[in-house]
Amino acid sequence: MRGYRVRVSGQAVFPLLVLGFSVAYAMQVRGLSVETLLFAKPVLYICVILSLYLLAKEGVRVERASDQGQHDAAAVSMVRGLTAESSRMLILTTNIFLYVLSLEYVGFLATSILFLVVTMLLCGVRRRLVLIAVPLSVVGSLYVLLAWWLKFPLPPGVILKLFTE
Amino acid sequence: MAGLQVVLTVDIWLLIIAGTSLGIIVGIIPGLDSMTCIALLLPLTFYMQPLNALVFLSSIYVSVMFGGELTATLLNTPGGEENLCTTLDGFPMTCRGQAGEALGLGIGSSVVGGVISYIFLLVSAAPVARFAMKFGPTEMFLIALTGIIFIAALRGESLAKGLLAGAFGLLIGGVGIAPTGEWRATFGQMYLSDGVPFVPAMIGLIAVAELFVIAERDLVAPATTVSDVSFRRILRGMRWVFEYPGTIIRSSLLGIIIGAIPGTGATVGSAVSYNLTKRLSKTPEKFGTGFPPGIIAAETANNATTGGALMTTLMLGVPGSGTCALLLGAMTMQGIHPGPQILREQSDLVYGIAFALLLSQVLMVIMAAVGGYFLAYLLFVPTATLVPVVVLYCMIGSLAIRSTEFDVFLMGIFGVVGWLMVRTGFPPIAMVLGVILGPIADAELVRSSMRYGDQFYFYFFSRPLSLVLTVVIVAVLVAPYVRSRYVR
Repeated sequence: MRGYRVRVSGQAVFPLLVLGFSVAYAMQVRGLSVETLLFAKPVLYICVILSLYLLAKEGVRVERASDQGQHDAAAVSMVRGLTAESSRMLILTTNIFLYVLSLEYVGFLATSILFLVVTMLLCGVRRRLVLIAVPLSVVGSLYVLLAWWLKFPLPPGVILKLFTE
Repeated sequence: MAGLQVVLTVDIWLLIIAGTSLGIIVGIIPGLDSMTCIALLLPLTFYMQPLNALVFLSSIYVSVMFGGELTATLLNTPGGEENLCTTLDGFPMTCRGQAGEALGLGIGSSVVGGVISYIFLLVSAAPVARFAMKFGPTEMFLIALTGIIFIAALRGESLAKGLLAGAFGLLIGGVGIAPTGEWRATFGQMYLSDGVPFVPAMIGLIAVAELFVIAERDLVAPATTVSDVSFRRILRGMRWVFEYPGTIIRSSLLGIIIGAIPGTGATVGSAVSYNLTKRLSKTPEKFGTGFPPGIIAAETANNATTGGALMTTLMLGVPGSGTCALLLGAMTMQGIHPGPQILREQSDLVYGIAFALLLSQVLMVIMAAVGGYFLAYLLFVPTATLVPVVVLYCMIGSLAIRSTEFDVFLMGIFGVVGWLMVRTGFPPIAMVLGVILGPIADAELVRSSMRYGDQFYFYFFSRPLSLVLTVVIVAVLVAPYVRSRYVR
């Protein structure tokens, strides 16, 4: 008996994300009034219909097991296309989230300088002058503009607060 | 001419210079917009003369867009959402080695749009403001929808992909307290009660996503050389603007009218203008590839909206945009009561502001050209150094809106989503417009239902302006299928 396999391509990622969010959204808005969902409900339906349409059209393929070999190579290259050339993207993403986590505790000045030094190092910058001068001048100028000129409240950080109190 | 006399003083000139410089600097930082800047500086104007205070604040309002245009063109990082459409053709021109011309096009169109709209403010403020008030909730809803559908239909690999991106943006824009007062899809998160803040969404989906892509190259625009960013080439770009008089006039008028409609603003103005220009073009396929009329349409219209928005604010007391709402607050603090009587009672003030803004355009050309020239040298900084710095600016921009780390986190999430969209052919710009215009469309639909009752759908076809907009939307949605059948 000839077998069939379902293959998911990189094109499915975004429609699947929308579909997942739409389901979560639908569960959240259950029981709300008609007026509240006057606009949201049709938009929700459109999201679900278009996601399913794009999944069926480009995202998911049903193919014979005999064709598997040649398509596996294509699938692997697609996944590589999304990830292999993205080492700096992964560095940046990780550092953004680490920045968010440490901002409250370490404060704006130290976190921002650390973010720049670590990210530049990981991206391949090796010149010491650049690693010192760029973070200090960028963070310094931002601090002057935001904290001094615009009187914008920047997070001082819990650690600094403990020392000053 | 009394208006001109009152602005020809040293005080006013110094305030215009201060407001313009500050506006351009703030505009360069993604996420920091004129509204944030004016809100922060409002207390400083308490002790100024009314005209001085309003000239200072208005100069900031109009110059922020100039700053945003520079980074949108050079780094695909719009300073504000009103510069979104500029990235579509500005950045491809930069990548092609035409950074100087792209900057010149943006600066030239911004000035022309601004000048035309302030001349309109001087000569025809009252009738335009009255026309804008004819737009009811059904028209407002359809205008918001038009902005998204046009972009969704014109960007991305297919109509379905564009529409899915736009609809997803609308869905995300619908998170938060609904116009009816009910909490909608906040997932138990207090920070989402006011909705998904559109600044982190925009920075993440457009700027951070593009920075992720740029980071994999050694230089932002490898094709660009030092000779591509001379003042001569910026001036050449400015001259190119005048080769498209039809686009300038159409985009300016569109910007003035859309700016005058309360609650719309520069983002809708530039999106509608860009799309209309593309629709009317004989070479629509060139848009999005670094085509000068694309920059002209977007930048002329977004600057022209400032004059339109000020008309409604001054003549009717109805703020044409969020920033104008703050200007309205500043006027009230100064004891000025905007409304139809203001031209009779305080004509010096109205004409003084208009003349001051006209004069500020001259200063802005010089400042933006010099600023753009020096900023363009960023293109020669290796991305390993440049990208982390710009990402930091993006994070600070996201943080600045509500002073909460959650918004920086959101920016990161949207950055990853935007990167995925770019890599798989979905247009992030359609999603951003959905997030921005979703709450407007939602609120206007609820207002339509409250005003016209259960049969409110009937008014989409019975009001002339609504009917025109409905026909336009249907035509945009059906056109690709009709065209493909015709070609076949």
